[in-house]
Amino acid sequence: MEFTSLEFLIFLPTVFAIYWLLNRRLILQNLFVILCSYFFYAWADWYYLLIVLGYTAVSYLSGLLLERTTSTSWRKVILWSAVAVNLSVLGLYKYFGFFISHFNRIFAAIGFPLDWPTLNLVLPIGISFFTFQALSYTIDVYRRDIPATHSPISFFAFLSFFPQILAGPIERAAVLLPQFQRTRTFSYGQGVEGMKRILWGLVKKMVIANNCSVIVNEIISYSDAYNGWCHMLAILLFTIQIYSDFSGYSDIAVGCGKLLGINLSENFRFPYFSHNIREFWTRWHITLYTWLRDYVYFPLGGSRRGFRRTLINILIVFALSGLWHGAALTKIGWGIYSGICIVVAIFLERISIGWDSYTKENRKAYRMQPRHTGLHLLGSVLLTFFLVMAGWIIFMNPSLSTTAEFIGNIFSTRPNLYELPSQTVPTLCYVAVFMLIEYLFRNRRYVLDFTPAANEGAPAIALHNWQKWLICWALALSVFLLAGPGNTFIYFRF
Amino acid sequence: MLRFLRNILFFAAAMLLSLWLLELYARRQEDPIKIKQEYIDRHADSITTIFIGESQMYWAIDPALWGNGHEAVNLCHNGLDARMQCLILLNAVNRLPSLQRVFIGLDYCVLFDPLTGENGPGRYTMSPMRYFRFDTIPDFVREYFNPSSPRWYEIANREQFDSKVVPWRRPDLAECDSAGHAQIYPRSKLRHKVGGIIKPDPYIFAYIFDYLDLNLKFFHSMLHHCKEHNLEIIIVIPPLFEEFFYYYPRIKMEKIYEMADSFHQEYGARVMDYCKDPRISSDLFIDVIHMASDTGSRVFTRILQEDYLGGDSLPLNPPVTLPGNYPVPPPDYTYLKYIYTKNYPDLLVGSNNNH
Repeated sequence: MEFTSLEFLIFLPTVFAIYWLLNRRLILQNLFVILCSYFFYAWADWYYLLIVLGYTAVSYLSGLLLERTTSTSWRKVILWSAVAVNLSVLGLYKYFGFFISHFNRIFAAIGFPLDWPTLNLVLPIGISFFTFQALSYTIDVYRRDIPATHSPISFFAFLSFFPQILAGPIERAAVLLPQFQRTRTFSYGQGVEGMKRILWGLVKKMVIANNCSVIVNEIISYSDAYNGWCHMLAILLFTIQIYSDFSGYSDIAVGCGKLLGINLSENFRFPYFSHNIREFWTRWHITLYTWLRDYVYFPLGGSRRGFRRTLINILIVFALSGLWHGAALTKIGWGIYSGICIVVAIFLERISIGWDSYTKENRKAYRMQPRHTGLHLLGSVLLTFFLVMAGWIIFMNPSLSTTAEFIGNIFSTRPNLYELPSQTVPTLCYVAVFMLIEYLFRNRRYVLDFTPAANEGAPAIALHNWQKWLICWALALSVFLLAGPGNTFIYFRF
Repeated sequence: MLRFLRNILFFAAAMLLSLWLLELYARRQEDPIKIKQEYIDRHADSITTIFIGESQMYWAIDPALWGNGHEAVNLCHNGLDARMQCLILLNAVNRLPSLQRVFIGLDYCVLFDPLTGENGPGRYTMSPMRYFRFDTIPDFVREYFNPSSPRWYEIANREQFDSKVVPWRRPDLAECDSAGHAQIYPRSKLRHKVGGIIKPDPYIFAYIFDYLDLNLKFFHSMLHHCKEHNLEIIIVIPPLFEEFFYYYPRIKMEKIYEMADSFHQEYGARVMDYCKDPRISSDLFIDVIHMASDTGSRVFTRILQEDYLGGDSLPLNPPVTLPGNYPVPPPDYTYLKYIYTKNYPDLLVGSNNNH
C-alpha cells in the first residue's frame, strides 16, 4: 500500500480512530498496530509478510538469548548467528543474482564458464530497511546499550510499525521501542504537526517528484534525441526528484507517527543547503548513515587508528552504503564517489588546519568556526550541490556504460530532435517555488513549522492563524491540481 | 482530540468546497470534448457515419469533407486503447439514431499493444484526485473523444487553444521541410535521421508479435455491437509512410491481414487497405505514421469516400516485401522496457526470433 493511494486515504483515518479508542489498553493498542502494520505490508503480497515475521522472531529470540547468556564467546556466537541469518536473507533476495551473474561473467571471460543460476527473486519491499532495524536491536543488546525486551507485542510493533516499515526511517530500538512500552497520549500540537508533515510530504512526492520524473524519464528514454542542455536539465531534475521523493516519504512517515503519538527520527535536514560535502552526509538519509557510522565505521576503528585508516574506513562505509542501495556497479560506484568526495574534503581540511596540526581539538575548533557569509557561502552551497548532483549521474544509470553514455550526452552539441514535454516549464516553476520554501524553513524543524518562538536561532514567523490555514489550504489544493502522473516511491526499490 | 477532529473536518470541508467550485469552473470552459459533444447533439439526426480508431485514423480523416459536411464525426482518439475505442463506439451508437455505418481503423499496433484499459500502465486511468485538473479529462467524459485537450495554461492562449479545438481544421503548420512535412509535432513522433538511416520513433517499434487477447475481445465486442444494430462495418487499414516498412516486422502485417479477413468472414465487414496505396504519397504525412491534418487528411478522406461509394472491398495488399535487412533493435530500448518489461515482462519477445 502506498502513502499516495486511495486505499491509504481510507486506511489512515480508520487506524487513527480505532487506535485512539484503544488508548487505555496498551497491549490491545500495540496488537492493533501490529495487525494494521501487517495488513499494510501484506497489501502488496502476503507472502513477504513471512519474511518480516521471521526477522522479528529471530531478533526477539536472539535478544533474549543474549541477555541470558553470560559467556562472552557464546554471546558472540549468538550475535553473529543472528547477523548471519538477517544478512543472508537480505543477500539472497538482493545480492545473490548480482554476484552470481558477475562470477559467471568473470569466469567465462577467463575461459571457465560457470552458468550458475541467478534465481531472479523479486525483492520484498523494505527488506533493506527492516533488516538494518532488526540488526541494530540485536547489536545494541549485545553491546548492553539497551536491555532485551521481554514484551513480544511491543517488539513486534516496533519492527513492523507501518509508517516506516517500507522505506524507513531506520529506527533504533533505544528510540522507538520504549514508545511502544508506555501509554501514548494525543496532543493537539503533535496531531497538527503530523498533518502538516503529511501535507508537505504529499506536495513533495506528488507535485515535485512526480512532475520531475516525467521530464527525466522522457530525456533518458530518448537520450539520442536531446542535446547536452537537456541532459543537464535531466540530472538537475533527478537531483530534485530523488530528494523530494524520498524526503516526502519520510515526512509522511513521521507525520503518520505523530498522529499516533509516536515520534520517528528525522531522515533529512534540508541537505541541499549544506555548506560542504561532510555536512551534506549528516543531513541526507540521516538514519542510514548514522547506522553505518555506529555499526560499521566505529567498529572498524573510526578515526582512532590513524589518518590513512580513517580514510579507508570512510571509503568502506560509503561503498557499503552504495551496495545497500542496490545490487549494481553504479550504486557501488556512486557510494565510492561519495566516499572520495569526503576523503578529498578531509584532505583539504587537513591542509587548511596544517598537516602536522591535525589533532582532534584543532579539527573541532576548525569546524566550529563561524560559517561563511555572502558570496562565499553561496559558492560553498552551490559547489556542494554540484558535487552531489554529479554523484546522482552515476546513481541514476543502470550500468557503467549507460553512465558513460549519459556523461557523453551532457557534452553533446547536437540539436534537439524532440520537443521537451509541455510541462517542463511549469515543473521548473514548481521546483523554484519548492526550493524557495525549503530555503525559508531551512533552520526550522520542518517546513510549515510556524511556531511563534524562534527555534535553533531561526527568526520567528509571525503569521496569523488564518494565514497559516491559507498556506496549508493552498498546498493541499496544489496536490490535487498540480500532481504529476503517479509512480512508486524510488526508495521502494531498495 | 475534539479540537483536532473539528479542525480537520473544517479543513476537509474547505477543500471539498474549493474543489467543487473549481470543477464547476472547469466544466464551463470550452474544450474539445464539450465542443464535440455539442456538435454531435446538434447534428445527431443527420450523422450517418462515424470513424473509430486511434491516432493514425484520427489524423487521417477530415469529417467535414464527408458527405454534406455534417454527416460524419471523427471519434478517433490519440493513444493505443482498444477499450477506449469500444466505449466510444457503444456510446455513439446509443446517441446517434441515424447512424448507418462505422469505419473502424485497424492500425499497426492496436491489437498488439498492452496499453488497454485496466491492464494498461494507467495511461488513461484518472485518480479521483486529478479529476479537477483542466488539462486532464475524467474518464467518463473521455468516453467520447480525443483526450488531447488543452492544458490549463493554454486556455489563456486562445490561438493555441483554437488550433486544438477542431484539429481537423488546423491551420497550416509553421515549420515544414522542403517536402512540406511538418518537422515539429506536439509530441514525440518526429522522423529523424540517425547514421544515415531514417529512424522512426522507437515507440512504434513494437516488439510484440502476438495479439493481446483483451484487445481482440474489445474489437469483437465493437463489431458484434455494430452487427446487432445493423450498422455497416468498414475496416480500414490506414495509410502508412513508406519507410515504415523498413522497420515493421512482416509477420505483424500478416497478422493484421489475417484479422481483417476474419472480421470480414465473421461480421461481413468490408475491408479497405491503404497501407501501400499508390495514390497516397509520402509528402502527405507529418511523420512515419500520421498524416498531416491540413493536406493528408483531406486527400485521404476523399479517396476513402470515392472507394467506399465505388463498391466492394479493396483487395488486401500482398504481405509487404521488405527492402533488405532491417536493423535489430538495440538491447537497451529503454522506452520499450518501460512499457513492456516493467509492466508485462512475460510479453517481451526476443527481437530476432519471429522475423
